[in-house]
Amino acid sequence: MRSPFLSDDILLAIEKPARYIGGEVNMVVKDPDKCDIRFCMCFPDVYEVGMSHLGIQILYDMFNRRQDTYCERVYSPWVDLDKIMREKHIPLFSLETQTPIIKFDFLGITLQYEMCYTNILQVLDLSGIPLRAKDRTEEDPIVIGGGPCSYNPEPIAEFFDFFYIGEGETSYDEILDTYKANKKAGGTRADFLRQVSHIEGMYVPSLYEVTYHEDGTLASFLPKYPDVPKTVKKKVVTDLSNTVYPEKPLVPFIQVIQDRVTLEIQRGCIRGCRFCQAGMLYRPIRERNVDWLKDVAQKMLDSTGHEEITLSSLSSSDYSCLKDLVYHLIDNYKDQYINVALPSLRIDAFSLDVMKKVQDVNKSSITFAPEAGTQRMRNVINKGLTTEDILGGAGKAFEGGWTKVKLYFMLGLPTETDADARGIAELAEQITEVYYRIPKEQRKGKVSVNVSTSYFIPKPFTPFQWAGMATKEEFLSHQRIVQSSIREQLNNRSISYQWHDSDTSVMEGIFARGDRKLNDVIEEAYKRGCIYDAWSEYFHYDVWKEIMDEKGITIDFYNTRERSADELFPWDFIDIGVTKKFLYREYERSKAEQISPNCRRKCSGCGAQRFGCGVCVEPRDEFGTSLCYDGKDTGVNG
Amino acid sequence: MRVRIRFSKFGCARFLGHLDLMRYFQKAFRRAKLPLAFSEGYHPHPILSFAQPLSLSYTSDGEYFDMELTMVVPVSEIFERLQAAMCDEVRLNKVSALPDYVPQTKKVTGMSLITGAMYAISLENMPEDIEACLRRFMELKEYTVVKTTKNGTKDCNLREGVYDLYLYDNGNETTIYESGSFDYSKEERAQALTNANLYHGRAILVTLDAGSERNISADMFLKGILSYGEYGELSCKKAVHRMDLFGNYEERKVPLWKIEL
Repeated sequence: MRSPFLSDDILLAIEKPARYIGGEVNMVVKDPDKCDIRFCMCFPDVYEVGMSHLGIQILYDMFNRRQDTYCERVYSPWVDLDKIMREKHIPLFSLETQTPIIKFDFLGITLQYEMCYTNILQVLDLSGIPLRAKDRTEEDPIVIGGGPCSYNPEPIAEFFDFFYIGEGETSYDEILDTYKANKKAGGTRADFLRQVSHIEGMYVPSLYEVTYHEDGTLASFLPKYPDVPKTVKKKVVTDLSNTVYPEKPLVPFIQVIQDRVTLEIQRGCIRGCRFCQAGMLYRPIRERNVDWLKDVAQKMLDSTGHEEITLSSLSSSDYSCLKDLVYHLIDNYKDQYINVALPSLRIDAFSLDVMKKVQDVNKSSITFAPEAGTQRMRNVINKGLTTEDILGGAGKAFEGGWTKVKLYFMLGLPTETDADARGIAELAEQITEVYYRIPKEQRKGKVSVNVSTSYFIPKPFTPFQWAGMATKEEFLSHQRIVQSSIREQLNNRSISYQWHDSDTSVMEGIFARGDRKLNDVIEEAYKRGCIYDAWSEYFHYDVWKEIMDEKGITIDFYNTRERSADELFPWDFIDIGVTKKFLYREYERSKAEQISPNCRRKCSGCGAQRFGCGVCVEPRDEFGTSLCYDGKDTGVNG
Repeated sequence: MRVRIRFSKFGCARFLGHLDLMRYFQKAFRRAKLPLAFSEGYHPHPILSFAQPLSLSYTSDGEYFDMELTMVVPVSEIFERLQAAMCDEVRLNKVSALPDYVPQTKKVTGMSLITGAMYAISLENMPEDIEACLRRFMELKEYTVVKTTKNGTKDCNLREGVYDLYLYDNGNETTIYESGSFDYSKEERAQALTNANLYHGRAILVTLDAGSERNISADMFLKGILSYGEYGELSCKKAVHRMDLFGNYEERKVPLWKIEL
C-alpha cells in the first residue's frame, strides 16, 4: 500500500492535500528498483496548473513506454506547504512513489512562462539540489529545462545542467541511452554533459563562454571546446500523425484548470503575426491526420471518462479538416453528454453553427482578438483581421442570438499612437452599433462588449525582438486613453473594460530578452522570498526593483531601448529554422505598415523550409499558393 | 436500474475529499461504459447519492453510494466493468441492485437510511489499561461531551451513542460490550478490516450512532475516551478505518449491503 510522504498532521493542515498524494487514474506504476533511470518531470507551478499541461502528459507517457525508465511527477508546493517544508526541513518528493527528488537521475522542468522562474529555484531548493549547476555533485539529479522559455534560456542558464531546445518527442531516447552508457562506463556527470552537447538540440550552458561589450551588450557567445557546436538547432517532429500521444492521460482527482481531454490537432501557425513567439518557434505548421485524431479522441475519452474534449492549436480555423473533425465529435459524443470545446476559431457561419450546437447562446460569448484598435496598427503587427471581418462576424453572431462579445487587445505595440489607443474604444462602439441596428423587437435587451487589454512584450525570435518595449508610463497613459475614450462613446454603458497589471509585464519583458546577468537577480529575489510571481497576490515588484537597482540592472537596457540591426542577442546561438534575416525583414515591413502573406498563400522564405515538412511541402499552384489554402486571409479571432 | 455500490478507500486516497470522490466516480462510470442516468433540466448531472462523507485521512472498507443507470445490466457485469475502471486505492467490494420504485416511507436511499457506523481506531501508542477504561466507560449511564456544530456548541451524551466495543489484536477479538442490536458477525468484522492500516495490528472496534439525527464521529468518541480515562491530549499517531455503515432493518441494525429490498 502506498502511504503519503507527508504526515497526516501536515496533510490535514494544508489546503487541498490531494495535490500531493498522486494515485490518479492512469498513473503509471512501476518498481523503481527494476528501472535503470528515474526521471522526475516538473511543472514549476501549483498542481492544478501543472496537471492541465498537455506537454507533460505527452512526455510522461513517452518516458514510461521505456521499460528501463520510470517517469514520475512533481509540482510546486503551494505557499502553505512551502512554508511548512522550510520550517520542518522536509524535502520535496515525487507524486508516484512519494520519493525525495534528490534520489532521481533526472529532474526535467518545463518552462512555459517567464514568471515561473523563481519557482524553479523553489523546486531545486526544497529538493536539496544546489541552485547552480556548477555546485552539483555526482549524487544530484541532472536538471534539464525545456519548453517555450528555453528558446532564451540565458536568464536561468546557470540553474540548469542542460536545455532541450525543440519538441520533446524527438531526442530523449538518445539522451537516456547516452546516460546509461556513460554510467556503465563509469563516466562522470561532466562526461555525460559533454556527450549531451553533441546531440542536436541540446544546450549545455557550462560549455559556453560569454563576453560583453562595455555598454552591456553581448560581444561573443562561444563554445569553450572545439567539439561543442556553435549553434544549437531546434528539434521538430516531422510527422505528427506518427508519433507518441498519451492515449491514457492522467485524470486528476481534484478540479484542475483543464479538466478535459486535450486534442492537439496541429502544431505551428501559418499566420505570421509579428508579436507572436509561438507562431515563429513552432514553424512550420504541421497538421495531424484527421482519422488519427478521431481514433485518439475515442481512446482518450474511453480511458479518462472526461466529460469534455477540447481542440488545441494556435489557430484551429486553419486546420484543413476542421469541419469533418468537429462534426464527427459532436455527432458521436453529444448523446453521451460530452461537450466539445473549440477555442481559437475564426467567427464565421461554420463556427457559429458549431457553437450553437455545443453552447448555450444566452450564456456564452463570442470572442475576437483584433489585438489592435486600428487597421494601421493591425498592419504593423500583421494581424490579418479587418474591421469588416469583426463587424461582419459580430453581426452574424447577433443574428444567431448572442449578445455578449469579448475583445482582446494589446497596448504598447511598436509605433502605437494615441489614435491607435482610441481606436480600441471606437471599435467597441462600432460593434454595439451593429447590435442596435437590429430592430428592437428582434433583439434580446442590451449588448455587452467586454474589452480587455494586456501589455505587449517583445519576445525573442519574433520580428519585434529589436523593438523597444513601452515604458510603464506609456502603458498607463494609453490604458487611460482607452478608458476615457470608452466613456466618451455613445453606447458606453454597453462596454466594459479590464486591463492587466503593468509591473508584471515589465519583469516579464526583462526575463524574455534577458541575458546571463539575470541569474544573480533571480537567485537574489528568490532568497528574499519571491515565489509564485505569476500569481499577482504573490508578486512583489518592489523587491525585484530593489535588487535590480542594487545590481545596476536597468529597465532601459533590457526593455525600452530599440536594439540595433547588428546586435548579437543572447539567444542568437539557437537556430529555430526561421532566420534572423527574415525576422529583420519583417521588422522593417512592420515599420512600413506592410502586411506579409500567410504561409499557405505564399511562402515568405522564413527558413523553416529546411525541416522539410508541414506547410513547406504542401503542393502549390503556379502562383505559389498551397492547394490546402482555404482562401481566408483572416486567421484566428479568439 | 438503481444500484448500490460498496467500496474501499485506502492508501494515499484517504486524502481525497468527498466532492473529489464524486467526480471520480462519475468519470469511472464513463470509463466503464455504464450509462449513468442524468437529472432533468438545462444542466443535467448524474444521479448519484453518497451515504455519508468520510473524514479526510480515514481509510474505509464500508463506503456506499446509490446511483441510477439508464439500462439494465447484470450486477456481476457492473462489478467487473466498474472495478476495471477504478484506481488502485479506491476499489469496489460489492454491487447490489435496488428496487426501481420505493415508497418514500421505506427510506432505503442515501443518508436517511444510516443509523450506525463501525470504526477501527488504532493508536501508535495504545494506553496499557485501555481495556479497563473502556469497560468502566460502558458501565456509565451518561457521559456528556461538548459537540461543535454549525450552530455553535451543544451537550451530547456520548455513552448513549456507543453500542458495541471490542479490542482487536492481530486477529483476536476481546468483547468489551455488546448491545445486541447489531447484525454483524466476527467474520464480517474481520472482512471489514481488509484495508485498515493498524498500528501493531491493534485497534478499538466501535459501533457508533450515525446519521442525520445524532452523529458521533470516531474523533469525538476517541476524544471522549481519552478525556474520560484522563490520558490527556492525543500525542501519538492515529489511524481510523470505517468498517461499515448500518441501517435499521426489521428492528436490527444491519450493514447496508445486507439489507434486502
